Amino acid sequence: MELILDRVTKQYSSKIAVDRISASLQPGVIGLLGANGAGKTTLMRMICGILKPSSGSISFEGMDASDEMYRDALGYLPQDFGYYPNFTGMDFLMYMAALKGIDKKSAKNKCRELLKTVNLEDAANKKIKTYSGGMKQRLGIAQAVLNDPKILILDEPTAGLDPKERVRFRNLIAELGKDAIVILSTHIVSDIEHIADRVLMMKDGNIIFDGSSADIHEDLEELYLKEFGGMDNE
Amino acid sequence: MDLKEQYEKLLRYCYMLTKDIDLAEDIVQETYLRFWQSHTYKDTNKELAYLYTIARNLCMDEFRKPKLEDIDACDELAGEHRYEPEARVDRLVIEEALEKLPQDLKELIVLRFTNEMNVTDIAKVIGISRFAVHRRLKEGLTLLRKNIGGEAND
Amino acid sequence: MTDRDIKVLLKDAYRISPSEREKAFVRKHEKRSMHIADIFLLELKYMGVRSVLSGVMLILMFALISLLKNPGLVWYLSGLLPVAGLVLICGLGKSERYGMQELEAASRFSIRFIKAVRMFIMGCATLVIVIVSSVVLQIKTGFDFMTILGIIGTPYMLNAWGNIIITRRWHEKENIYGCIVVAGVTCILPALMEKAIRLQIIQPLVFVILLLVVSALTVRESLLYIREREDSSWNLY
Repeated sequence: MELILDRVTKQYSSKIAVDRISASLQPGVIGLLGANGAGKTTLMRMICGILKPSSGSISFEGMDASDEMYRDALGYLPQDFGYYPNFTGMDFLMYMAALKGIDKKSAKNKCRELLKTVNLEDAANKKIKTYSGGMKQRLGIAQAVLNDPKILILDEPTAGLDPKERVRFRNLIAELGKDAIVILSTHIVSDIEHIADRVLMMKDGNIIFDGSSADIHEDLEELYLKEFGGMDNE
Repeated sequence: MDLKEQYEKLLRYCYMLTKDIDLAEDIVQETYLRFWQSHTYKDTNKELAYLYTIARNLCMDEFRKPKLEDIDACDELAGEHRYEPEARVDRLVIEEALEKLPQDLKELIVLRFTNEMNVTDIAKVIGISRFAVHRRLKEGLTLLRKNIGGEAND
Repeated sequence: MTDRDIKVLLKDAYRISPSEREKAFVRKHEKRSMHIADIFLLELKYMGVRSVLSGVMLILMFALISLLKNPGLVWYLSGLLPVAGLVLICGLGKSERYGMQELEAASRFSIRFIKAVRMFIMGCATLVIVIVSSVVLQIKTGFDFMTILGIIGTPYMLNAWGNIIITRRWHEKENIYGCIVVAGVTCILPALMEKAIRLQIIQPLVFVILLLVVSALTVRESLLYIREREDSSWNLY
């Protein structure tokens, strides 16, 4: 099981957002660090198959990122997402399950199970508009893992979570990383320093650091500050 | 009936025939793949008899292979670890009683009462008349009751 | 032990707990059960209360207007159709409006497909309205079919065309205001058309030709809308 990025490039009219990135990603938690504007989100969107690379390719087990079966193996939590008005948490998950092609019966069980996992059981039938930011984020995480994805893309997943939720979330991610390729993008070093098996650091569309958890143990924060020090760190 | 449910039933049937859980699983998957070559997923409920016929033929083919002569020796053991933990004593009783039936009666009983297949489909799978299915089911149930009753008296 | 007890016991015979292999197989193949028809039903189901309510209200208004014994009938209907179109467009652009497009795009059934399905549902709904009102008008007013089609179809199509252009190019949820403006303008159009025909400045046939041209443009725009990968909307990043 391997996700292969081969010279992936995304060029917009004026600038190159992602510049010939190549990597081979195995199951485990992969932290993608970088300041805002480093190209993380663009890269993540290309891995999700919703943004087409200007050149290069992304494939998983022989499937290109634009294939239906590739998306079938994918779970995605965007940086920001909305919901249709009047959706309850349960409606939202059921809708996503249907779009992921999960049949109704197993979807219902799966949704209940996941709402429990993310601790939203009691709010399942409440309207999403009554949810707090953290609750909505947890709901987003639940929809991302609905289809037991082999590739899980999480873009700034801890945004809006309180410290307690962050800890619980980290444990959940570490668990998922046991048998899926989890790519977690963040600009907060502490989000990933204990759970990432591998860290990629991005700057100006390039990967400037690629190391395993063993190499990064001590100097990650330092390296990050060195690279991004003085830049927007929130 | 969804695939999961149908798969489980077909697996139980094949396990009953082969007494080898891994082999039964191979056969079930092979059955589905063969079935889907000529049918769509939606057809499985309509063409249940055809699905079971494929499975039955595959099981019979296995019997003809010499390497499986001593299947009775590894009876149950192979699949034991996959038995549900809450397996009750009742169930072991019924399975023991079933094993004492002649193979053809056992098969009919399992298809009808375990897999809850209708008589018309069973007749198609086994290749006998519906009337014969009814008659033999009755016969099988009587024998089964006798087997269970006998044990209870022991 | 009765036969009944035995039958109950038999239900559990040879029960085997599912293996990983079984789970993987079922998961892989079970998804065959989701068909295009299911997506249609899904989209119908999640159409949204507001869209459905406005649709029902419009149909009621059509019915009411149709009851009038008034030769001006055709113009009222013609003015009302763009409003119907607006409601439909609202349904079409809802992913963008409510920020669901990224989630939908990354799911198994791509947003392109979902958009196509939505457009098809919307298209069918309006087609029914247009055909029914044409027939009603033909009976009630005695105009010939082509004239009626030209009169009621042109504002509607102009509205549809304008709205799809707006939805395609303008991805923020505020695009709805643009759509409302277009609908408003096209609603007034029948009044002008009526005057033009009454004063014999324009022949009714001109509207039929106009309708055909605008229809072609609308179809083209719709295809672009569906085909367009989400690239354009992400260009801001």
